[in-house]
Amino acid sequence: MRLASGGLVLEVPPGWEARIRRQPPSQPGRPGNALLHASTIPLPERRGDFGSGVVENLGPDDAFVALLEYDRKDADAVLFVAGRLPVPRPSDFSPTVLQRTRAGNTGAQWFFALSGRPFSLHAVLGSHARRSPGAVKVDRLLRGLEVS
Amino acid sequence: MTALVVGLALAVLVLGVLVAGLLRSHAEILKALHELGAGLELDRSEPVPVTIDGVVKPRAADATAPEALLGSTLDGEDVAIPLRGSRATLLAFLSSGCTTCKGFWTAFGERGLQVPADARLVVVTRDLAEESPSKLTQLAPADVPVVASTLVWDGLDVPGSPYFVLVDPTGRVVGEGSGSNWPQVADLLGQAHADSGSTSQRRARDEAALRSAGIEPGHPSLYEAS
Repeated sequence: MRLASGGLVLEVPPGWEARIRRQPPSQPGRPGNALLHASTIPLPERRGDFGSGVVENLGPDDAFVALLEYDRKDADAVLFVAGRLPVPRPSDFSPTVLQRTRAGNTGAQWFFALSGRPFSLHAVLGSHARRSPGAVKVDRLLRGLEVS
Repeated sequence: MTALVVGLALAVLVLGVLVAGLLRSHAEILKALHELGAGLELDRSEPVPVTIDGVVKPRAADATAPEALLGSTLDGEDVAIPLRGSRATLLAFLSSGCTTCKGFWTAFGERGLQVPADARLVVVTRDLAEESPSKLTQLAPADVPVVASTLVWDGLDVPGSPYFVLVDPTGRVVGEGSGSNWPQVADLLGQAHADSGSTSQRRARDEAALRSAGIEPGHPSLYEAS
């Protein structure tokens, strides 16, 4: 199944739920930045940009991903120097990356720019002990993502 | 003269009885329509939708739902909700202008809602261009996803609202239909789910018995005329 919105196209793998919305514009008249959420558990209607309301309910083999777009004027910043999507590895994940630590959970974050659009990618897995299959799951999701 | 007056009085009396009978039957018809949720609302411009009572079995034995529900939420999110996975999904096709739907919108906002087959409940409306987004925002329950998708309505040949389709975790449609209130629909869909489970259990038991007797798929005895 293919979900397309806000210049993002995601081929959603089986078992994932995904949602894309535009954030309120930082400048009047401009389109808001895109925000993509994807998870292997149902996404609740009320949830935070970085997954609060979702990550608390992840099981050991579940994953949550948030792709947040920043303002285009920031695309040249050093933070976004990487010019391609990350390839998540198990060693990228650490419980200390999480904004709010929760027993068992682990997370990773990357910054990059694609098609002149700066992004951060925030991934949370339900279990640090099972981060190897979790990283593969997130990688599979990202392989289906295109930015225009 | 007296006979004429008496005759006229009798005629008036008979006509009065007839008119009273007609008015009474008319009132009973209106009452029945109201109970079915299709009461007359003369101040409304939209047509009153028809309710299809009773949950029926899927139209085809192998009826399957699409892989995912694609649409948009009332606050403008584009969504892809999988219809395969670890849980069943109950698709509730509702609209903002349907009288019978009001009871379902209210029921879905109540705490402790029991959904048949422990399914995830998702309300599906037609695309927002064909709906009243402001009315839907008022009606939408806080914690139940409401997805606008005419594509899914058309794909599943939904005849009107309210209408319900229960999809099992493999994507198979195990029950569908309509009713005038949530307890009735929940009960009938629960039965459809139970029947579907007992059918597949019976099939599995029969297959196990045949295999234990050494009869595998393709065994000649399966094709012998009795």
